[in-house]
Amino acid sequence: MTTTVRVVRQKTHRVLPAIRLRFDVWLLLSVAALLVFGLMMVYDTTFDLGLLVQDNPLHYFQRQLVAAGLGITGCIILMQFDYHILRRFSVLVMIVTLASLTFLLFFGESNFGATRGLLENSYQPSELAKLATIMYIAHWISSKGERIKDLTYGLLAFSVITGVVCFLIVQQPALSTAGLVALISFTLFFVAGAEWKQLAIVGGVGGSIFVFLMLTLPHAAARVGAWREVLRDPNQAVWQVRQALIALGSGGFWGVGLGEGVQKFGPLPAAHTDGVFAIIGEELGLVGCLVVIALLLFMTWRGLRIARKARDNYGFLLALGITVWLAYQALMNIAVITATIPFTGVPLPFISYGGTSMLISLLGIGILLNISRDEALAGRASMPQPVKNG
Amino acid sequence: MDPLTGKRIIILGLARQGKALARFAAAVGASVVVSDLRSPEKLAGVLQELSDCEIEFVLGDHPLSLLDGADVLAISGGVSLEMPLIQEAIKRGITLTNDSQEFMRRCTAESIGITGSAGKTTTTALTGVMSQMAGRRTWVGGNIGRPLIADLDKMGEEDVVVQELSSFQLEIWQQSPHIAAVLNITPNHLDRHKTMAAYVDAKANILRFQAEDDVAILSADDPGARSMSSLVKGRMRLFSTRYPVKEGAFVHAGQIWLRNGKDQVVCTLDEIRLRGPHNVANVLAATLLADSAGIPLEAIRKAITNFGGVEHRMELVDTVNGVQYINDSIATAPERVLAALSSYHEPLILLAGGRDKNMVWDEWVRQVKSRCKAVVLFGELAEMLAERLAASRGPLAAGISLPTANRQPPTAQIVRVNTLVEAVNAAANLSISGDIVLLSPGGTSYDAFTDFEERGNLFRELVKGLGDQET
Repeated sequence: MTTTVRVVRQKTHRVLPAIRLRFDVWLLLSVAALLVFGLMMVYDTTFDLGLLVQDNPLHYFQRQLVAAGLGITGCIILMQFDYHILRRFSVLVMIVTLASLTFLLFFGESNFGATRGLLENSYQPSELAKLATIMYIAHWISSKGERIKDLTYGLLAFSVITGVVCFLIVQQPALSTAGLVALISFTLFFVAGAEWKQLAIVGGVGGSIFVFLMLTLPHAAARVGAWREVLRDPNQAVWQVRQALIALGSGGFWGVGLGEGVQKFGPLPAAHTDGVFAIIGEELGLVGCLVVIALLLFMTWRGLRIARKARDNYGFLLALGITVWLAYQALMNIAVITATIPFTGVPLPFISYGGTSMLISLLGIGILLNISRDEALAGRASMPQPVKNG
Repeated sequence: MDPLTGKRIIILGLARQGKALARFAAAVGASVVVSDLRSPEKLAGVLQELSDCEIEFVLGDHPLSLLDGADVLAISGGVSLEMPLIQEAIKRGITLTNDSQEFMRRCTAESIGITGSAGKTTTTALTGVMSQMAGRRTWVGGNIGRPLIADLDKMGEEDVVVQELSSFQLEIWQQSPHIAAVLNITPNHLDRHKTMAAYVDAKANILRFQAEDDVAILSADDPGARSMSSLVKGRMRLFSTRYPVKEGAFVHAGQIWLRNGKDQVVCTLDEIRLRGPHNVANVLAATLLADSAGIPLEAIRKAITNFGGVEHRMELVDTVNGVQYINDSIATAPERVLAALSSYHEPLILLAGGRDKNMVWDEWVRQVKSRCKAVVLFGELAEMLAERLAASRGPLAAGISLPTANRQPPTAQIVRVNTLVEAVNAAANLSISGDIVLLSPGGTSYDAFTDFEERGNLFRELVKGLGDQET
């Protein structure tokens, strides 16, 4: 990276004991609810697969539990510091991300036409890329201040950062993940107060590249074509979406009952990962789906609230970035399952089976909870104002 | 010289298979005795056909004296090993055999054998089509169609033989095909095999006698089939609709993959012309069988995208006024109906009925209620099924019909009629464009027909009649 990054070092990042536990309990509760619900669904959708593959019905559940445990541990560690310490690591995390994405392209384990994972697929760098990009852009924009309105400092640098990350992800290929990263970056750029001309250029160019890739990458083009058919007749949906719709439809209002679904036993591929929302619809019905959506909405609202109450621009952008990342991703997942957008594989945060996704999402929540303590900080008039960064 | 030359062979049963074996044995110089419980009058036609062969007939009974001086006893699939005559033969050390076993002993072509509790016929037929698509001369038979022993002399080493093998046939086998597949094992035919262990044991003969250069193909999703992996002596290949297996065929990300050192996409799930999730497993099995026999991927793909099914097995008869009529007359048990129900996502009008063989209908009631917009009941079962449906609470669901622009919400109802003719007419009146009328009776055909084929053929004619009325 050629961009200069000014890192303001502080002497200490210890958290004042008085506000140590003054984080947003509601966010914690909503995520905990999603997590417990998700673990339940992981067991529900994998017990027989675990039995088939590993002779252990708890195999996948245990792996997910370990990932959740690691994520929670990560959260607790993060909570020991003031989140501004993360500024020191923005560049490092970005370098690790870019390095692992690059490494992946050359040495990754190719699985079914795409190269997305390392270490027997247990680590997927593109998941880290989401959080790394948010951390980096929040740090970078907040340190630039008004200068992001400048064409060279703002637009060009922004495009290079986002462009490189997205380029590497598209190479896997994982177009939708790249699109998600671009969308999060764009949101941050937008709320940071970029000029409308810049937004128009970024949006226009980025959007054009995305549409171009979507229509030219063979598997993406096929999915878009199939999706256009679906708009006319849902019966023409691609297999996964059709089976997902069958699951949602057979669930009806109350669902067929937890554990009673049949779509997970083969008909719906990836029922425990990207397709889990359909199984929730089948077994717990519209009610179950609405509960999950309500929890996700509530989590998003708390996240946005935390962003608004953050004590500086960095906290604001970081909180906002993490919140929109999880919200966009959930929205994309549910939109795919309901055939609202072309088919693509995106996990549902905290619910889909997947270690890296779970771990990184929980780290994101850890950072959000950390930022949520700013509200308590602001309430204490006698407190010295924290050092302004950038 | 043939192993049977000069031997005295007793053939029980003068049906399709017995007839073919008798003709073959006589031709290779065995001394052939055929015994059938039916009288000479009833068998006059068959006797006439075999009049050119030197065969001794014992009709109307199977006397124990048949076994005197016999070397080999050939039995047909329908006969139980518990029968006193067979028990006596085993005691005397007489070799048991059947036509498919005798064929396997002499077959020099590439031999493929398929067994399982469900999906055998479809997989066998599809594998045959794959082989044909590759330009190989292909013989499909076994449990279905013409007994292959009749064509033995016409087969060459480059030909491909695909056999569907039932547990009855395999029970007495002492030889396994070069490529063998076990699709699944669920409790079935327990009236005949007595225990599940005996049933599994019989099926296992398809790979028990294989050598190191043979190939065994097993379902990774089915615990019964998978449990046979300990018996595999040659190369083992698995197929799974659930997860990527180490070596074999599987579904991943909406595509069928063939893994054989490297990963290759065979086709997407949407390209499979056969309907229903259960057929995906059959496609995977056929793909592996064909690949093991050296059939190129291109031919495999072409067969999958073109093969539309076997007669009377979820066979699309015709589309009249936008309504698809499906003939699944083979469905003589509720489980088969469930497989059919899960194969369609359109609004369903189910034609159900026939004669019951004391089956369990609970899941049928549940699935019919959640998936069908209407049920037309006919035959002996109609009354019982109507009561069962009425007894379970709630109306029929609107099915899983997805809202499309100009479709009215379907009206749920149960209609009772007497005959299949009335049933088809009732269904035609109930249906609107976009629906599927599915004949998947769940009961046997013996209340009004000789067999399921006659029932299916009548259904076809009735549907053709509907089409003619419209034009």
